Amino acid sequence: MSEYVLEAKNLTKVYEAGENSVAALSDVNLQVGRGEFMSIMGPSGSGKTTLLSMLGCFDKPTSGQVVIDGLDVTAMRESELPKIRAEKVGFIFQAFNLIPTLTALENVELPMERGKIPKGKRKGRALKLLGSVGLEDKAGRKPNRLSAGEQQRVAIARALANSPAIILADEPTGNLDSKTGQDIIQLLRELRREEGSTIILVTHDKQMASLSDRMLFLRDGKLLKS
Amino acid sequence: MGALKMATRDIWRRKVRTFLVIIAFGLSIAILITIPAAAQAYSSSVETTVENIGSAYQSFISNVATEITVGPPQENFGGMPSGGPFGGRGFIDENIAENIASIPGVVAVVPELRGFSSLSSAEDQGYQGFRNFMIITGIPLNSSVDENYGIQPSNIVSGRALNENDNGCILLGSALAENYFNVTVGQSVNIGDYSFLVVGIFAGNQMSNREAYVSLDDAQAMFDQLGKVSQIRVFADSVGDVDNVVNAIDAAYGDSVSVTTQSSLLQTIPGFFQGVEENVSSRLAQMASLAGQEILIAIVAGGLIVCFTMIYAVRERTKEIGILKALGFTNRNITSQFMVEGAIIGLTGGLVGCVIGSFGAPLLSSILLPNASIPTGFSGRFLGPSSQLTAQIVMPSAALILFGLGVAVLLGVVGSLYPSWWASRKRPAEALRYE
Repeated sequence: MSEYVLEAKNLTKVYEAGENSVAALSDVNLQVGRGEFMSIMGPSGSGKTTLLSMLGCFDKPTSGQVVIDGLDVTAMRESELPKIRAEKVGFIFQAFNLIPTLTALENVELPMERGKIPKGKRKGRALKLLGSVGLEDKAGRKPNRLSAGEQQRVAIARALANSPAIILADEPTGNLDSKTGQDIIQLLRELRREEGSTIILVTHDKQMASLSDRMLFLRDGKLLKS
Repeated sequence: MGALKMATRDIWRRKVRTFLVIIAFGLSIAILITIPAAAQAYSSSVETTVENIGSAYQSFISNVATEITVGPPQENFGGMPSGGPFGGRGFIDENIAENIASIPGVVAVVPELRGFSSLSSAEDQGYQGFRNFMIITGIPLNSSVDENYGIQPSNIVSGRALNENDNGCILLGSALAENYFNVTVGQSVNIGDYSFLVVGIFAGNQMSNREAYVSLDDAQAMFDQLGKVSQIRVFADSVGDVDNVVNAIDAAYGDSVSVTTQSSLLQTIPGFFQGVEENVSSRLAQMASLAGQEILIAIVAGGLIVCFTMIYAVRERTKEIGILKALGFTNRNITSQFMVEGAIIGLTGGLVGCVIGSFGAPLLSSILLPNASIPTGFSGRFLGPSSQLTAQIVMPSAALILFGLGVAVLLGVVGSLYPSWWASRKRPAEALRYE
């Protein structure tokens, strides 16, 4: 197995718009080590979201390769990608994106339906994860009865549900005040140690990014080393 | 968790909308189960009516059309029909009846002597008749002939009809018994010099109310017409025998008797009966086509209700679909979640529809199916069965309710096919950015 848990090789994404074509990403090369906490910074329009879509198997690159945990996901068929998303990748979104009809506990259990954790152990694991984000006592609450920070902590617990190889966090503090945002980043750092996860944090907040092990900059679709 | 749990919660997320959708869908299902039930009841009621007409026709053929009346010669009383109360002035020999009985094709002969008896106005207290008379008919006392050919009135309200050995007894019309003689069964009445024991009282119309029946022997004695009768009712075995019997009577008695048959009625009845049948079958066909259209509309409406509801739900939950996909749910997972949701709406709506259909069947079927009146009565003196037919109301059967539920669930699934497919096509990245 590769020493890198995530690799992007010559990743290019071109959007066709009539006669013009726009290169959202051009020739991006990236290696992320196992257990690393890396951040990618860049202004809006720099290609951050496009890069995350490629890494999260939401979208296929125009050319280049994405290898997650030794698997070339760009070579996979569309129908194989849900399994990769379920087992290898955890997502944390800016808008939390919890399912409003489900309780905190059920939201954390939800990805396990698609993962490898046996049915009987799911609830216990979900409770443990909620405990590790400090929300064990609010497990039965639905998202609308949780604060913004609490919702994001539920989302973190959900991202960890299947012990994914990588966690992609897209502006996870964007909707939070700075104190709560810092708490969230701290939590991610701690959990990374406990769960052994690899975290790729996309943000335009330098203060948050500075808490990571390594910072990369994205500008006009090109990756610049820090 | 699972698709079922999420689907159930999603349905109840919009309570008012779900309620309205389920009621609307339920109405479609109610129509779906009510219409066949009502149509079935309607056509079986029509079938019963047609059968009744058929048997009335048969009994007409055998009891009325096979009847031949032999009376005194026509010229004796200026064209008046023989044998009736006003034709009773002429008489023929009773032994003609025995001779006619031996003609092939004759199954029964009933000689009758009919006469009037005046009622004294002093005795006629408070009696609202139109003349002070009563009609007395003398008949042979023969229970089996009476049973087969209805010689005596059938609507006896107390006591019984005349039997063999009932000489000296009388069957009285109710108006005579109650208003004139003021007697009950078991008491006696005096008519002229004769006294009769009342064995039965029958109800009739204003005219027949003032009739009475006694034995032929008694009537002949009372009217002083021994060996004479006013008419002989002859019953042929079948309609085909009528002409032969009439010819035989003509050959034997020529102009000394008059012979009347029901041939003119016979000619009109089959045409009338055919008309009724045509009327009935065209109405049944009309109703079947109307019912078919209504069922089709109900099915299409039910499917569209589910389809639009689910399209709306997919639009509303585009972002959730994106989240589920990001979490690794497959297209098939998404499709089945929305299909389960459609099926739940179908099942719930179906149950509601069965309740509406069971309790609202009378109202629904009266709105949706026409009432029909079919002219089934024979004209003239022979009245057929009731001529009024209405779309009948029955509860939908258990099988029909199960069928309705099945169609409801199927409609829920089929109606959500496109919305589910559409939902599953959404790309996770696009779905996540959808607000």
